[in-house]
Amino acid sequence: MIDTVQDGTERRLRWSAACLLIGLGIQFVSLLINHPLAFLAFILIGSPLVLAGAGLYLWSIVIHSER
Amino acid sequence: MVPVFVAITIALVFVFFLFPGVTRQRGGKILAFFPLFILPVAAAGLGGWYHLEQSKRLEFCLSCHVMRDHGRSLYIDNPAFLPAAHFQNHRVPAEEACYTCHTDYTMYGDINAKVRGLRHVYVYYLGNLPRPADIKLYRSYNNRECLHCHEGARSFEEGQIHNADPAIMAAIKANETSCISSGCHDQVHTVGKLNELKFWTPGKK
Repeated sequence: MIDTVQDGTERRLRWSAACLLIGLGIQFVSLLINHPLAFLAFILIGSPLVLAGAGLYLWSIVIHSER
Repeated sequence: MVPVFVAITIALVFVFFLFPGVTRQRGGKILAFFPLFILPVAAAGLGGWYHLEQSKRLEFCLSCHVMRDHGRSLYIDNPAFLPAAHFQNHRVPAEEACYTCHTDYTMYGDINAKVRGLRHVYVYYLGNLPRPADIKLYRSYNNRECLHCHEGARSFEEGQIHNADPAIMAAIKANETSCISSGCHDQVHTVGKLNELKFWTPGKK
């Protein structure tokens, strides 16, 4: 049972890390380009993915502690 | 510096992506809070600030080809042309010349400027793009933007024409007499007539 819980938490953590990696990756590339579209990519794609990843991480530790 | 911070954050997040089992231990859980929450949120905040600062730069504004003529007008070799005189004599920071004159010096001026910028991007890619000569301000240029720097300056406060009648100075400061469109400093970008003008080349005497 403990292993299942751990697996679930780790799976969510991995998803969280994946969202963060994609979001931060987009942000990183956008920071290297001084163009309005880079700014939009940062705001509309990178930042929501980073916030989703951070939110998923928080959710995963809250779910884990409830169990 | 900010891109480096984001790159380091990516590297740390990658460790937790590869080895999520690190969080099985209590120490690992505490450690994960930094790369999976604190650092990404800080990176997003810092990145947003960095982008806002970069978006003030001349090359950012001129990266849309429709603005190229406006950029070219900064090199008109005639001091009567207001943007050119300000740019060439560094009365405004040369690398942030567009932003310095075209932001609102109000509490939310920066944010308003960025919202207008988003509208410009929409029009640029999805709307009907006007010819450079047809680009106009949304509303007449507010003297507040000029007075942000000129108010209190000797050349402005003691200027002969500004003081020819006591009512003039009051009208300028109240934005009732426009600095630009009242016939006094009305030579601005003039992008429709650039072919008729001489241009200054930096470094060439």
